[in-house]
Amino acid sequence: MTATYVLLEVENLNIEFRIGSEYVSAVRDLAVELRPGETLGLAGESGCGKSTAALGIMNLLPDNGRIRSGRIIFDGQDLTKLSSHEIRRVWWKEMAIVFQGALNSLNPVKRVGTQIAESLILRGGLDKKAAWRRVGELFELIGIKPERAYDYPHEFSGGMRQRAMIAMAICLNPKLVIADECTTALDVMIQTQIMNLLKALKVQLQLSMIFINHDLALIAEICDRVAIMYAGRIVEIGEMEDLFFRPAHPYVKLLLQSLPRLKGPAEDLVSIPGAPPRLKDVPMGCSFLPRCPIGADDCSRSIPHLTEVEKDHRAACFKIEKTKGNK
Amino acid sequence: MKWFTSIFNVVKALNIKGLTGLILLTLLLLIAVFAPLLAPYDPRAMGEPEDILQPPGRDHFLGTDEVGRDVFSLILYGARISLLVGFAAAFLSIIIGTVIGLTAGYFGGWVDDLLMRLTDLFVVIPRLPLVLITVAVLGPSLLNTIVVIGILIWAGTARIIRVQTLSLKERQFVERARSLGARHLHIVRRHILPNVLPLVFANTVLIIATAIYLESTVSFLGLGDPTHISWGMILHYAFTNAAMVYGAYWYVLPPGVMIVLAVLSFTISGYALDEVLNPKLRRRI
Amino acid sequence: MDQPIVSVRNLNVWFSTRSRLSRLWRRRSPGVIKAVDGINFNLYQGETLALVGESGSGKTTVARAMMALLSEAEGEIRFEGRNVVRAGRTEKLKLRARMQMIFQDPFDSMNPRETIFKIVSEPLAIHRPRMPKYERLSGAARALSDVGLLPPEDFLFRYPHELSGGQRQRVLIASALMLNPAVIIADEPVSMLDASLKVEILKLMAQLKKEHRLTYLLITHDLALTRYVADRVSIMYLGEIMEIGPVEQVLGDPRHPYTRALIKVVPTLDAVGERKKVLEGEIPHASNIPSGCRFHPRCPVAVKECVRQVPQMKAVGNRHRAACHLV
Repeated sequence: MTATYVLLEVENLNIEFRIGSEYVSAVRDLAVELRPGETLGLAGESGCGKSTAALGIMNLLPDNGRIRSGRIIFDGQDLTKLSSHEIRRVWWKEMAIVFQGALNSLNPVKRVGTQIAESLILRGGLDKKAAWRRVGELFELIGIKPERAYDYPHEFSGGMRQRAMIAMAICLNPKLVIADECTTALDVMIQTQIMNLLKALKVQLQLSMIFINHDLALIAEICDRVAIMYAGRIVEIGEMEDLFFRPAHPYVKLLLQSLPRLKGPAEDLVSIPGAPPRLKDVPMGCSFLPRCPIGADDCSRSIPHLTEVEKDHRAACFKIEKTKGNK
Repeated sequence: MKWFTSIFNVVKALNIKGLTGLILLTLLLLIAVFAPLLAPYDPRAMGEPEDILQPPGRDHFLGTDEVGRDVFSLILYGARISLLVGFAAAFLSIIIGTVIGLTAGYFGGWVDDLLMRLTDLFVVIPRLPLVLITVAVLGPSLLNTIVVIGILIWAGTARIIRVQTLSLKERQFVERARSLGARHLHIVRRHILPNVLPLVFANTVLIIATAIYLESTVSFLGLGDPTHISWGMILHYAFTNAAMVYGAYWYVLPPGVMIVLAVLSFTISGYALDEVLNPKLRRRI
Repeated sequence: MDQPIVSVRNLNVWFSTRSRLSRLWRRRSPGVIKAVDGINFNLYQGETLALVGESGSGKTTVARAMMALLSEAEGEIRFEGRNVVRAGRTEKLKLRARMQMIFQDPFDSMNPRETIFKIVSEPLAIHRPRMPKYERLSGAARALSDVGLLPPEDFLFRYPHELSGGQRQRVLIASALMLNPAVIIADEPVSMLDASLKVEILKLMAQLKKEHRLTYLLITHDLALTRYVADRVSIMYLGEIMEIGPVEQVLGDPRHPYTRALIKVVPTLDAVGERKKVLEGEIPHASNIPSGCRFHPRCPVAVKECVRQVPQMKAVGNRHRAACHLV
């Protein structure tokens, strides 16, 4: 295979949190790559580590979190080896993150346009006129009337705030945008508007994106490749259609079967007994074993690593050979 | 049993600052409790004319006052009243503050407005004139001192409790209780009070510091109970007898130092306690 | 059709943003929000009726009005021969034993300082204060077993933070059953749970419905879920019911333009890749309700009449009605 340029390569990333006096592992042995123009989805339920992984990549972990080991190679540089000063230069200009557009993500006492303009001036080196012109362009891009740039965040609706956050993230043309649950807590109409916006921007600006969401349907809409996480590990990763139409890992299979559909026969939804493990109590061996319908005793002996199911589609399960047969 | 382990955990979590405060605090409490055993003389025992205003020496560790009483014993016994009034006044102010804060926060509306205006009044009221007037009207006694100080400082507690109550009122478990048909008393007793009390406790130590300080002020001005000895009282007599003119530093310094130490130890402990308790209060496990 | 167990007629809920005093003389002044605007519907014994809507639709307000938790409600809510809206204190207490509510946030619905036992048995503490403790204990244990928290002794004396989200919601469901209610109003009971847990809780609720002869009013924003758990569904928008009917009919043959738009944007796996044509704009604020049909500013097929006249509910199928001029 020819050496294609990889924008982001994460190797064996381990992130842990200090809770009380002990360290709890939140992300284990995470390995992903992202090619330019690609949208990678990080999916999973709460506590699986997807948001933590994103924060780790951006070096935005809270005080009690730290990267224990691993490499994050972005555009040739290992981000884990950079000082906080150097990391700051990477933020916004090379990599940007869009959080949930809650009111507390934007400074409530500054006008929305001002906040974006400031970023452009301080980090982009633009002068005031150029910055505000760019603000106008950005607002056009995100579908808000440019005059609204003079409003304060509380005058924006939830959907508009989310768009403003997106504008802020792309304002300096970063190479990578991470979207972390940026549609959660929005009405379904607004959510669709935001998704349409992201899809449009993806094409217009040829964005490379990591899209994090717990809603698999949204992931399927926008992502080229998907990684499903469970208890801090990636349990399956591959091209979107491959994963959704031919899931290999028992967890992913069950998860897809538990999602309600509007069309087709209304057969009973499948549930997964039990609950995702707490980070402190992750079982030995395969962390999904307690809830797995095809698990066996030997699954607890060691941690399953990602093995190939088909080209560019891997799953971390000891029973893969068996499931691969049933198509 | 649960109480004991929680207290133990709290102590374990304190840093140097907190530990110092706690140790000092304990020392002061021990002094107050064991004063009769520790004091070499009866503090009221007046001495012979030649024992008046003696500097510290072999017989009297901290010297004597203007009627020959042993200053050291006075200081030891003084701890009792200073701390007692401090605790009692703090306790009173916490009760008043909690009741008012709870009522204002829980009922809202005009009740809240009214009680908050009342609280504001007690925040801005000049303390000294209030004390003077109250003591002038009611007469100087230990009880009156306690009451006066209690009335002076409840406002801070009321505000804190009110804010906490306001936010608790909106929690879903309160709404659930209401949807079950719970009456106000049930909700306050089971849901509001247990969740504001920890806040109160964290605040208590700081309030005690203020109360001790205020007691010494009241006594220093001569408005305290003349039949009881407190550090403020000692200072009062020292000054009214022009101790400084006579250079009787041993009469003026010790009570002053003790007041400072007491307020300091309670304040430091209070802040350290806050640091320990607050993250737990805020963090949802 | 049999008699409904709850019938709602002309329910209006006004919220004022001004102080109590000025509300006395200026009811319809600006600053008054009409959250629910004269809605009518029936709830039949044994059914699950879903109230679906986005934010501002009034669905949560309706739920709270039915639980007599709103003093601002007016109109008629007939339950077991009494009008909930006008009930006095003793009547309300009796009603509350017969109608229970399950709230959205399983964690916030519990007092963090109380044991599970105290939380589950709170209804008993309120309605049967003289019941001896051992009876309450056995009642609580039985309720916990009913919801699958076995063995109950393991859970009775734990604290909320020791339980998982799914377990907490089970506890709250158990608590709702303690007084043998006739109706349970579930306000977004699974929206804060992970996908794999939603199904379990919903299945539990369905099972309990049969065992205890319950009737459910389910408040939700998730249209896809209603297909699996509801018998009838009612679509609300800005305080009014736009469409109501059996779930297969409303989802399979939606007549109201808003329902159609909602169905198009629900994120489901079978709609992946389809271009999602989404409604323009956002839901207007409740203080600024459009004239005529309140949906007309965003309606793709609005005509002149829609601006002038408020549409009446018309029958469009078997027990299927919609409020639109164009049906």
